[in-house]
Amino acid sequence: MSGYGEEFLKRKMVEVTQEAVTVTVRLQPKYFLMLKLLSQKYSFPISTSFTELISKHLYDIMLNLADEDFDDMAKYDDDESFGSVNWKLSQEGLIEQPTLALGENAPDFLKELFKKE
Amino acid sequence: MADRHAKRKAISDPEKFGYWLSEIFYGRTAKDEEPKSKDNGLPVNIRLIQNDVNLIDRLGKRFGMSRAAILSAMIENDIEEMFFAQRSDDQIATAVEVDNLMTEGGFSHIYRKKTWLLEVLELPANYGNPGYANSLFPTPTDSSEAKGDEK
Repeated sequence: MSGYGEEFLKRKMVEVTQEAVTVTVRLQPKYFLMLKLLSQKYSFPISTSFTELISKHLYDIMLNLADEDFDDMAKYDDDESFGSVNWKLSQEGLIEQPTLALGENAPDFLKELFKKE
Repeated sequence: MADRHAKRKAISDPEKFGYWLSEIFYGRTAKDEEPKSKDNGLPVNIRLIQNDVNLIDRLGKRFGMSRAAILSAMIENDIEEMFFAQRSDDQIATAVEVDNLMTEGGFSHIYRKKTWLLEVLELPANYGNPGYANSLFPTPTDSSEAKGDEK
């Protein structure tokens, strides 16, 4: 038993509930033009490439926050889904893993599957 | 769970950009000294997880930074890392191409028409001395942009 399959599906279950939004960011021309060129040269989409990268940066920030700030930031509102940063923190045992990680929009069969845990 | 925080500190990696950014949040390290462009920023649309946006806003509120400032710092860092991940000949090629695009677009260069190329040049021992920048790209008629404080 590696647990990889279990970890994979649990992560996917968190991901399907995560709402994505489009945010406009202004970059200095130096970086804007380099990003455009790199995305053309190495064939990657600009809009979705930073989704995962930003989550990783946020995780690294969370690790270095003062204790009280960490506890404040790791809280999430009831109507908010359990995010990928929280998921990674919970995998490290730094915050509690939610008993029900699925949001309202999750398909019913996933909710059922998760309840049986 | 006191040891929860101890574990958190133990796996925190000082080599990561997020670590450095959090040090800036607490004023424990100085902000980047790189001269900022005089031009307005150019808009890029990116897809983010709503939960991450909420977290950025909470951090911004706590540490007095805007969402835009936190995001652009992260993204510009990633672009620089992407650039340096290339082989050195590709670094030079993309540097020259983007420097030319900046010139054609009328954007101000951090260093006279060689903003990116300067990042990949090997800096000799006299780097930073008065006159060093001029010796690199001699253009006797223009010395207004000469700066020697690149890292």
